[in-house]
Amino acid sequence: MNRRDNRRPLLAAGILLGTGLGGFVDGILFHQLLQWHSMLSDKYPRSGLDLQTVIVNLEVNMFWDGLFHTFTWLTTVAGIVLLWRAGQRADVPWCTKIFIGSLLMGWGLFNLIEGIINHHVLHLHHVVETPDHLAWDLGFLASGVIFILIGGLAVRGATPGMVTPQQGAALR
Amino acid sequence: MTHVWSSMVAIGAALMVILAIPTSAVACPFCDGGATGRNEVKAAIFGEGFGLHLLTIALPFMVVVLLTGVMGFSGQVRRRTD
Repeated sequence: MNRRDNRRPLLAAGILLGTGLGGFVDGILFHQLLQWHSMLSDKYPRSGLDLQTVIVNLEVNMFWDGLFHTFTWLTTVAGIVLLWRAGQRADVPWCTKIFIGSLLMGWGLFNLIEGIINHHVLHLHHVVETPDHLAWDLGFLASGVIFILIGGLAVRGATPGMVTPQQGAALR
Repeated sequence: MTHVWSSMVAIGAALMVILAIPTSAVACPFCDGGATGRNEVKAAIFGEGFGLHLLTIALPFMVVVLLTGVMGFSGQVRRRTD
């Protein structure tokens, strides 16, 4: 009988899905609904310039926001594929706590890595495009660390049951 | 597993082809050089910084994919050695 203690496939799927969904939160909430920043809004500012330059910069940012959402979508699809494959394996526990924890870890990883690379190293954009953006950028990084810690604790504390998706379906 | 990843590559390639289609955004007044005669938006997007911008936007996703790839691979190896 296989031991169902191989968490890694479910963990990998959840982290990828969490990264994709975290990216969508960033793109939908910050880029589109709140319009705090766009992908290259530090390099191509959207205010404080003449109208024509602002329109051109908005169009440029819209293109790169689209590419950002393309990568986000691809990451989400990859996560779904891995989750599907994990569900077909007999040695992978089908544990809600591990899954939710790994989703949070993925979201946190996205915030941390995207924040370090795009906000602090390359200055492509900041959380808010104002002179006091540093506090917001650090808050974004902190949210990443907090999500990773909470997710990590959830995964660590999980005690997976012995039910695989196939057995669950058979019970129903 | 290989066919899954080749499907992903195919989807990515299809998206890149869509991006490469030389159409202009209908709502964009400066994409066909209509207002000024210069194609300012395309020049800004596809200028010398294009590759770097593409790489930097993809980088966070690439790091996570690499991480989960290693994690998934080690899970497979562990399964075989059990």
